[in-house]
Amino acid sequence: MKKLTTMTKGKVSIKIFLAITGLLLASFQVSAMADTAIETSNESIISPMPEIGESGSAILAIAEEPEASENLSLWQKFENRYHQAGLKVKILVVIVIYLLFSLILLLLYILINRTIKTRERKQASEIKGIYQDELTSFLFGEENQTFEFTGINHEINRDIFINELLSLHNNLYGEAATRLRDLYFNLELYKDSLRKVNYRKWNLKAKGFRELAQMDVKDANRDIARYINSRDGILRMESQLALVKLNEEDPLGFLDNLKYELTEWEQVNIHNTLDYHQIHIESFDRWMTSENHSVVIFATRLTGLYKHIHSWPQVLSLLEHENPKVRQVAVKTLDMLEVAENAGPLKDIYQQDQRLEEKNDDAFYNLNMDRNRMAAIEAMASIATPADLTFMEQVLKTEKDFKILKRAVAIIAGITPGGPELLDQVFERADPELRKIIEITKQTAAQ
Amino acid sequence: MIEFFRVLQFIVENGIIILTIFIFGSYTALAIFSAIAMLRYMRKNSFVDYNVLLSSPLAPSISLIAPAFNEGKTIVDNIRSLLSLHYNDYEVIIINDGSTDDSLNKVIKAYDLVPVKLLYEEKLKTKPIKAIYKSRNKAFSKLVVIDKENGGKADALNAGINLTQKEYISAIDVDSILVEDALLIMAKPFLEESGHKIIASGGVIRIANSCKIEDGHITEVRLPKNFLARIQVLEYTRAFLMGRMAWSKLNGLLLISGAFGMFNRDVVINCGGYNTDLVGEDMELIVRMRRYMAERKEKYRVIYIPDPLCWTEVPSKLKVLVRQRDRWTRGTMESLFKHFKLFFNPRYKSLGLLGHPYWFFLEWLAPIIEFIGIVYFIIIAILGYPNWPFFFLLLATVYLFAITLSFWAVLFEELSFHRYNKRREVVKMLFTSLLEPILFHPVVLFSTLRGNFKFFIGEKTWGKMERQGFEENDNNKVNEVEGEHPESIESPETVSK
Repeated sequence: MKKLTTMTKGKVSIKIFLAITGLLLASFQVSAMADTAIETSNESIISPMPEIGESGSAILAIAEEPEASENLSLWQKFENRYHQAGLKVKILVVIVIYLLFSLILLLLYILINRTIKTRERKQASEIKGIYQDELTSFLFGEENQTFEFTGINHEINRDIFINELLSLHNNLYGEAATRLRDLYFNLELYKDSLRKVNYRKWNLKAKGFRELAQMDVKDANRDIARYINSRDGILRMESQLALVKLNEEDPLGFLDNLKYELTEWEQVNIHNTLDYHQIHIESFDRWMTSENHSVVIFATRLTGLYKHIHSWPQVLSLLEHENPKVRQVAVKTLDMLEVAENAGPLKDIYQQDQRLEEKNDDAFYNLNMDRNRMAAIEAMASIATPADLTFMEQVLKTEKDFKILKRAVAIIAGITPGGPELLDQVFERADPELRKIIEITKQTAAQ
Repeated sequence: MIEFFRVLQFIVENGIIILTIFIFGSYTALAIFSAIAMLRYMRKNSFVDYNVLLSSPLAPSISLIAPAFNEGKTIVDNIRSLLSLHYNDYEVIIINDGSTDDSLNKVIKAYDLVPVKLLYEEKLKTKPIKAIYKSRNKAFSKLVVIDKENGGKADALNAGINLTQKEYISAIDVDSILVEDALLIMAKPFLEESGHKIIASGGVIRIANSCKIEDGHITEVRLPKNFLARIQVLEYTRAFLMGRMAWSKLNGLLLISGAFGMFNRDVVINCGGYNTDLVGEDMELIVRMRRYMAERKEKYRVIYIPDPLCWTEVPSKLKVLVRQRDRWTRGTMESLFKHFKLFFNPRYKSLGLLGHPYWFFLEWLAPIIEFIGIVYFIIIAILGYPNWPFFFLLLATVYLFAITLSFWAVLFEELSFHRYNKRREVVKMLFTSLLEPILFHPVVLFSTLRGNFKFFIGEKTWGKMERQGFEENDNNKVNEVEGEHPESIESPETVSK
């Protein structure tokens, strides 16, 4: 079994490169500081004025002192000239030397790194192949058979083995998945994962969270929960996802103590984890009163997605929420719940947000109000009856937003009896824009 | 006379030296920032599963807007490629901007399109729309084609923005090739906004010349055979991996390439959409959006994604390259001067204190100062005054610095996305970087000066863009596109390096 010792070579060469760079920079600084007192004449692209026409190379000509030049070596000549030159020249010389060195080092590093990386990839893929074969044999072998996994005690190989085991486990269900989980425990690989949680590097910690969550290492719950309010976004999200999986009694319990905003990306991932592992949660009501508005939004969304009709009163109460975004999500959720009693509150929220917009000039605030009104009208689509026609007519009279008008006309057209007739009446006294909307909506409906 | 020369010498030389030090310092700082940001991004990305967005009902809706002008040769395949992206809730809006070729007929036939009546609000003024088409075939239900009178790329994009109802819009060049996960990757930053609004995100533009392309997808990445295109690979790598990554970190990005960028639709509309009077509409929109947010005291960010999401063809002929860079320069100048209020204005924070001044000094002013330096040196050379050793020392410093930056860029590419697999290609890139300052830079400098000249005399033509066409790369056939649909500004900040 090949050991992946070359993997560390890359890191060593980076360190060497950085060290040399650092030394060069330091030498540059020292030389620059030491020479500040030296005269800075002859540091122009133009020859010094008194010598105009006499010499075209005044800068380095300073060093052309006759006495020692014949007996000195090239390096000594250079050294002499360097010491006699002005500050600007010295700085430039140091920069040129530094750049030349760094170029050579970069060139070597790029080429060596390419060779090392290619070899590493080849080796890793070979080892992966070996482990894949061994794990497959293990899965299809006798249950009591003893298995030896090649070179598993070597740190890098062990990491590759864990990755392969987890990747295989991710794609399997039932008995095969259980056997792999048992193997993970029997080989004490969970200790490796637990160790990762305590590493300083965030990426290793996060990897540890994933491994422990996937293999259902419930003992790790407390360790992982410490990172729920980590300043590091990745650690925060990975710990949330791990807890959703590991905390069987209260998968979303961490939301109670979440101090940071739950981003939509985190929401997408948590929802995906709930779905993928078919985790059932009775009710999201308790988070609808959270002080963290993002938690309220998420709980309300989940209520809609999982059609928790029993939570309808809680969602309804959110129509009074101070945050327009929460109100908007609540309206959309009501739409998803398709409860007939929604019509009244939806009409109220529409009118309330219309009044709020009239009082405010802020474009973003009004955009939220527009969205809320749109969501309210959209929600009416599934529950509107002829009894709502008066309200809908009022919308056509007062609404200024084109999209909402368009949607309202389409909803009215679908309410029978009375909807098409109302549109005919409105058409007579409508402005050209509304007329056009009604006209095209009717044509589309006819098609 | 000598006294006069002394004063002139002092002003010119010290000015140039100060600017050179400033440029060296800026590039070095940007490279360091980029390296840190890139390392963090790569590690962070290893935990990201973009596929969660594929099936999530919480994923945002996106509209891909692609203006097309005389793209008859490739448009059917390009649309097919756009329709096969990995994303659930998205639509593709193609705007036929008064093409004079058979583009529209080809698309109608290939996708079984019929005219439809769609109600939409003209929030942004555009040239009249002749018809809107949708497909009868449900397999192409995501496709909408707008046929309108020619009004230029910005006008076409505005027409698409008017029509869409989606939350986010993604403006693309129809002949660019997007990787299949491009929308998934691009949408993610918008979902991560926390305490600040993400108003736009942009990705890396990679060069597709000589790459193997099948069914509108890159199947094998190859370094361009053409020397000019190869130099641009280096230039793009430097600009995208070393420049924009750092600017994104500093929240100072002034440009999202029009070849592929994603925007918050509401902010774009509130800002008035693309400006149809400019040649550099992509950059100006970002500057205007940022300015709009800053003036409203809204917290915002423009995000840059280093993943190679979009592949495009770059000029492989000198004449076309000069035209392109000339237009980029005018585009940059338009944005800088139109929004000069930002210059060192603390009210606009990083935009006013970092982004605008950087572009002003390093993108616009630097080539002009460089030109003055060259003229100055030629004069003293003619007069017989040059101090040759000092001159060569300065030249060596600048040359070596330029090459070092390019080497770093190659290293960034090697350590990050590693798209060029053959060792020979890396060696070629390194060798190309040795020649770039000598062969390529003077051309870019000339184009920039031409752009400046045209800007000041008020010329606003787009010029003619010649494309080889991906399929004809090796046959040297040329697909000429004349009129007001040039390729987008990709990386004007690469000019002058």
